[in-house]
Parts: sequence; C-alpha cells; structure tokens
Amino acid sequence: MTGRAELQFPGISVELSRIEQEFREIWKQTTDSSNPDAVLKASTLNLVITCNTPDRLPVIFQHVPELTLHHPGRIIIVYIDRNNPSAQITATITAFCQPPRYDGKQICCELVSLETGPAGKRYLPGALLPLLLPDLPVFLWTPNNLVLHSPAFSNFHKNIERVILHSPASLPTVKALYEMAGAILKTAEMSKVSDMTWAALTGWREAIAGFFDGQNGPELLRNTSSIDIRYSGAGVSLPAHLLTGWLAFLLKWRHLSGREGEYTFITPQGRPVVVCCKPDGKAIHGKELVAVTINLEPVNGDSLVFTAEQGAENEITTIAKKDDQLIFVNKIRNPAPDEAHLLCAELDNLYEDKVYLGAVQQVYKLLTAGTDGKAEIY
Amino acid sequence: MNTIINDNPLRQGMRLKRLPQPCTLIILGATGDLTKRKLIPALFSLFKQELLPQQFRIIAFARRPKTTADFVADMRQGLQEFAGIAVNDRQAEQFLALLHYHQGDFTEIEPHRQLAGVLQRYEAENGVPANRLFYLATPPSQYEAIVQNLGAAGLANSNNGWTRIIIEKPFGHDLASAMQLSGVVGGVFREEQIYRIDHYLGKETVQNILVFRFANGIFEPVWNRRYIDHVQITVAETLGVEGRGRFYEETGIIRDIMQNHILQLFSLFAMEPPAAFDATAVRDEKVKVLKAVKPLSPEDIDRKIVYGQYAAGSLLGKDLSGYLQEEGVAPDSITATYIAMKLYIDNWRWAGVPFYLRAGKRLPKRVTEIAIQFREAPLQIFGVAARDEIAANVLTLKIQPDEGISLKFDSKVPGPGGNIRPVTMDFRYGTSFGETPPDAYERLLLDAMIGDSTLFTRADENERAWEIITPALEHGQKLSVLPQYSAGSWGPAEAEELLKRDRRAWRRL
Repeated sequence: MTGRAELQFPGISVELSRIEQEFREIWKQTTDSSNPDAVLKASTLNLVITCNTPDRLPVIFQHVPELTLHHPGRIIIVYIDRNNPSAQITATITAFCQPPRYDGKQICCELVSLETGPAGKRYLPGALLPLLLPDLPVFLWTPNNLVLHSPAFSNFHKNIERVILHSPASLPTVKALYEMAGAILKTAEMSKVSDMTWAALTGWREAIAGFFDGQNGPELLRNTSSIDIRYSGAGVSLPAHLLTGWLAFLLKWRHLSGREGEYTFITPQGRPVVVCCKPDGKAIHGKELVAVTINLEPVNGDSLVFTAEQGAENEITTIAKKDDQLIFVNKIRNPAPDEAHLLCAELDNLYEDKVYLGAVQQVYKLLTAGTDGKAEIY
Repeated sequence: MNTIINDNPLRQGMRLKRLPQPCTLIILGATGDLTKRKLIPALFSLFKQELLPQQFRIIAFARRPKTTADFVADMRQGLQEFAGIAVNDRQAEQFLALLHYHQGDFTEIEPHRQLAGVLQRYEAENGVPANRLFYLATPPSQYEAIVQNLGAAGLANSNNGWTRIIIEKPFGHDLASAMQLSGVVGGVFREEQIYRIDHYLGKETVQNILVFRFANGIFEPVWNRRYIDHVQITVAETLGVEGRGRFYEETGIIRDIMQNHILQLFSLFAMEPPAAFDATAVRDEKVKVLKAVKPLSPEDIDRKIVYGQYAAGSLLGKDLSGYLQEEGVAPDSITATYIAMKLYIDNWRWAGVPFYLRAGKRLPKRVTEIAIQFREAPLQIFGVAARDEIAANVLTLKIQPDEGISLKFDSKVPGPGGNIRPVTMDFRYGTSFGETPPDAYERLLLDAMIGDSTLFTRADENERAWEIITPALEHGQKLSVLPQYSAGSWGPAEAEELLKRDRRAWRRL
C-alpha cells in the first residue's frame, strides 16, 4: 500500500478471481505493520472509468488522488487497448491512503485496473459486477460515451446509478452532433446520465437566469424576441446548442423552423423567438462560449438588451441595457473547467438531471431537420 | 428589487453552488473578538471557495478611531492566527481589499446617516443593487440603540434591494427582555428581515439530525415513546470562564447554553416531521414541540433540576482553580456553571419519555451529543448471567468534536462461551466524506446573504425557549449555595442522583 497520495501504478498484478483476497491481504498487512496509526477504510462509492486511448490513462491516474480525497471508495479503470488482440482481461490492483485536505483523518481508495483488447469487451461485465462494493452507488465515467451499447452490457447497466459523460464541445458537422445527442438519449434509457460539458455551462446558465430573477422576470422572459449565442472555433458547438435546448425546454418553446445554427421557436404565448448559434472564431481563456445576447420586445415602450460575455478573467460579465442606457453590470465566476473538479461535482449527485435530458432532447429534435432522421449509436 | 428566484423557470434543476446576489455586509462592532476570530475567517473561507458574490464588500463599523488600513492590518493578523494563512497570502490580500472601516458611536444617529451615504455612493458608483446585510456583533446592551438608529437613518429598507439584520445570541436576558428586544427590533425590521443567529444550527451534524430522521426510513418509526426509554443531551466543555468572569456572572450556564444550544438540539430532535424543508415549516414544528414541553412546576423543580458550580480540581495534569476564584467572579456567587434538567414533552410521540439535559463547564471532555437509549429487549432468553452483560441499545448523534453517529448493540463474544458484549458501530463525517464540515458561521453567513432563514431562530421560538427555562432561572436565584463539583469531574453528585432515582445513569462519555 502506498502512503499519502503517491499512487503506485500499475500495482500488483493479480488474477481476476483473487482481487478481493489480495485487497484483504493488503489491508491486513497495513494493520499488522509497525505503523501505529490505525487505518480506517471508508467507502462511499464505486467508480468505473472507461478508457480506450493510452494517452488518457496517465491523465486518469492523475485524477485519482483528487477524486478519492472527496469520494473514498473503489475505482475500477477499464482500458480497452485497440491494439491488443487478446480477449483476456488482466488485472492490477493497488490501495492507498491519504489525509483529507483539512485534517489528519485518512481516506482510502482501492484501485483496480482491468485491461483487455476489443475482443475482451464481452467479458467485461462479468469481470466488473463481482468487483462492485455492495450497497454503494456505482458511477460509470465514460468520457466519450464509450458505454458499450451491447447486449452483453445490459446486466451491467442495471447496476449503474449514474453514467457520467464528457461530450466533445465541438463537432465537425451537424450530423455528428445529432448522432451524439441520439447516443446520449439512448444511454439515458438505461441509466441516469450527466455530462461534464453540461456542468461546465453552469456559469452561463447562472448568468442568463440572473437576468430574470426579479419580480418582473417572468414577464421579461415572455418578451424575449431573439437570442444570439456566439462560440469559439469553427465547428458545430454542443454548448451553444445545449443552451438553446435548455431555453426551449424550460420555456416550453416549440421548434418552428430553421437548421444548422439558426432556429425559430414559438413561445406558449404565440410569439416567435429566433436563436442564432454563430461561430466567433476567438477563444477566450479556452472557453467554448464567447457571448450570449438576449433581445426583448419593448416593455412599456423601453427596449431591453441583456448580454453575458466571457471576460478576460475567469468570469462572465452580465450587462443589462435599457434603450442603450446601462442598468446594471454583474460578474459571475466561470472558472476554466477542470476535469477532476467537474467529475468530483458529478459524483456528489445521484438524481436524474431532467433539465439536462430535456435540453438534449430539444437539441435532438432541432437537428432532425438537418439530418436523415436516423441517429447512429457509436 | 426583491428577488423572487423561485418564479424564474430558468432556475429549475440548476445545480449551483448557492451564490448570493451582490451585497454589502456591514459588521457593527467589528473591532470585537467575534469579527476577528469567527466572522472574518468564515468570510475568507467563503471567498476562497468562490461562494461570495463578485461584487461584495464588507464595511466594518465600530467606535474605535481607526483607518481602513489599521483595520485591515488587524484582520490580516487575525487571519494568520485563526485561519492559518501565511504572510503575503495572495488570496488573503484580495479578500482584505474588500474591507472598509467606518468609525462612529452606535448610540448616535449621525454615524448611521454617514453610513447610509457611504452605502449609497458605493452602490451607485458600481451599479449594484442596494442589498445590505447588517451584522450586530456588539454587546447585546447596544442592540436596541443600533436598531433604532438604523431605522432613523433610513437603513432598515431600501428601494433597490433587500435589507437583513443578523443578531447574535443572547436574544434577551430573560423572557421580559427578550420580548422587549423583539418589540424594538420588530418595530424597525419585519420578522422576515431578522436573522437571530445561534451558531449551533450552522453545524453540519445539527442539520444532519433532520436528514438522519427524515431521510432514513428505519429511524423515524422507532422515534417515539414505544421504543425509546429516554434521551440524554449533553453539552460538556473543558474550559472554564477563561477570564470572562464578569460576563459569566451575568450569564451563567442556563442562559449561555441551555436556553439556546440545548433547546435547539432538543427541538430538532423531538419535533414532528415538517411539511417541507423550508424556514416556515421547520420553525413551526420547532415551536410546536417547545410549546408541548411540560412546564417545571414549583413543587417538583427540586427533583428535576440540579445546579452546580465548579470548585478547584485538575484536568490533564493541570491544577485548575474553582469558579469562585476566577477573576471578576463574586466570592459568594451563586451563578451556575453546571445544570442538569429533566423535561417531559406532553404529546403523543413523547408522553412519559424523560429528556435529561446537562451542560457544564470544566468537565473532563469537550463533548456535545444526543444519546437515545432504547428500551431493552422484552424477554431475556440468554440466562441469568447474561442479564448483567446485556446493555440497552444506544444511538448517539455526535455533534462535536467527532461529528458522526454511533450505534451500540449487543453481540456474542466469539468462542464456545455464551458471553455477550456491547459493541459500537461508528459513522464519522471526516472519514466517510473526506472533508471536515465547514465552520458554522460560513454556512449561516451564506444563508443570510441568500435569504434562507431556516437555520435561524424565530422570535416565537426564542420566547418559548425563555419560558421553558424561566422557572430554572428563578429557582436558581433563590439558592444561597450551589452544589460544588471538582473541575475535571462529570458534575455534582446530585446530578447522578437525578437519574439514579429513575434507575438510570448518565452515559459515560
């Protein structure tokens, strides 16, 4: 067992059938050692992480100490090596303890790494299920929706409380975005799903919602006439489309027409709203979204414009103007999304994020007009 | 502009850190210990966690002539001492830049008018709403004057934002003064603007009492007279009066601990399930259970209350002086430093279940907990010898220092014999969640900025708590001498008798 947060990997190579015995042996050695401190093993979850590129493995290992600091438990990393012709699953294990950030009590983690080739995928559910700690939630972090939509995995899915995705923010074509939305919805039929790309939009949602917190917020929302969402890069932006889907879902807008970045909706009050998702070219601090501008129909003769802009620092500046006169300026923190922190936040939640799914459903519906209407699950 | 976030459909399902709107915190009595030890470290912690609004400012209002630079230097030193920051900590300097010092006498109206001007200028220049949170960190004797001056200076309300006021305990010295204070504060601020702070309610484990009871299906069915034999609530401190003898002479253990901390734990533990987890529903239920407490009658008060005062003793190898030898304490003082009390709740859930409450200074350990002792198994089938080995099940909600929950149950000792021993099963916050719960002030300051008053005491709750302890206060004042206990012991022998008469005993902590 390693001390502190020094992660020794790959650890001990063991047979699949001996993983639990070997863990027991590790803990026994720890308590039998001359170390005067008792080791208290606390577990709050099972986290299964899938990975299919060798360059991702060291990144995942780097995240492990941070993850277990907040969420002690068993982490199982599944690496499918495309170049491995074997169907055999090899396993390595390690366990380590580290003091949490604020005091000296120890937090412990058991780490299992399973490795196989594509041919071994069908054996993975049978390898994973016995490794899950009983009575604790099971999270599956599958960054690129590598959730293996195969019949062999249906039994495994039944045991997952939550699938955590990290969908790519930029896609080459509308069709690719459409297919991705379809794949997310397919996954959601089997498990609760969350997406770190969605979580990274929290600051933007906060900024936009903040315009409508006042007493006359509902009235202002009803007067929305057009929304302009600018994003960096040249591809098709998932965040921009998720924001569009989010607004359409929560405000019950019906998609009327439009495709490929410009969409017209009808509000429940019968007003048209046009949403434009436009590439802007410039990326500010690596942020995907650049600005969101909301134009409102005149209220009592005054025209209102709300703007949320990614600022130079890690913040979004929100500006409200009435007839070109500044009403207020506010700043919302929007730190650069850090994968480990986003994942930690996702592990705090077990509920189904219906708003996210609603947003994805809206995106899927929007894009149906731009495709042949068939989503491919990849 | 009042915030009606719940009406905003875009807030639905938003998984956010709870962030307050831009606002200004005005600490009145900012040169006192509370600001340096608790408030500023708590605010700095919120700042580090990015839980304060971007446009946030702290105005320190106090009588002492100081510049902002002087005050910042004091707070910097305070952060080094109480928040463990290093010299030249970059984040700390960013935080300290939010401070502004405003000098003035709380008893005069002019400094309050000047404060109004400072606030208006700042809000206009920065285009922020007039959201203001006043924190009374002054001695309670100044509350009334401050509140009246805030009202007279037009600071109790603003047209373009919210105004709230946090009042530190004690909320009154007795029932009459509590009602008087409520009248004065209520004449200037509406009840929904008033946040009476008892930092115990900000503790994670205190809040967890509600989660433990109402989120777990297995506990609430046994949370009643059919299964529970009795309940013990203990707030034990190892400290003495620590140089604050004069203050303690005015206060005593009943006002300091029993009226607020213990009765808060008591009401959260014993209340009925609220219809919702919101300020009104939770506080309604707390008031209901406090109203159901059987009043202590003059006839049986001697049999239900034990007072005590610590005498010289020793703890952890150190000699400790007695209360009467403490600085600022009258040589014939009858101020209690220990109290044990037996209460009953006259409702269907708790009829006949005694609640033993105790609090004391200079006890052997610093412990706060609620221990629920369940009734014994109805039939002992393990023979006469086992009868002495079997102990009743005890569920303990530990508030401090080891925050968590522990269950004691009986188990067979491995081996051919039939011995039975009690064992405990522990859940500890630190080891299960990997994070030490935040300081209570962090949570409460954030709640007040957000406008959530669930964890603050309402006027009627405070007054009912005073009503419950008034007989204890009055009876104590009639005594000419108090039972003594050695510093470092678990209280006077009379406290043991209180339970022994009921064939029970205090838990060994």
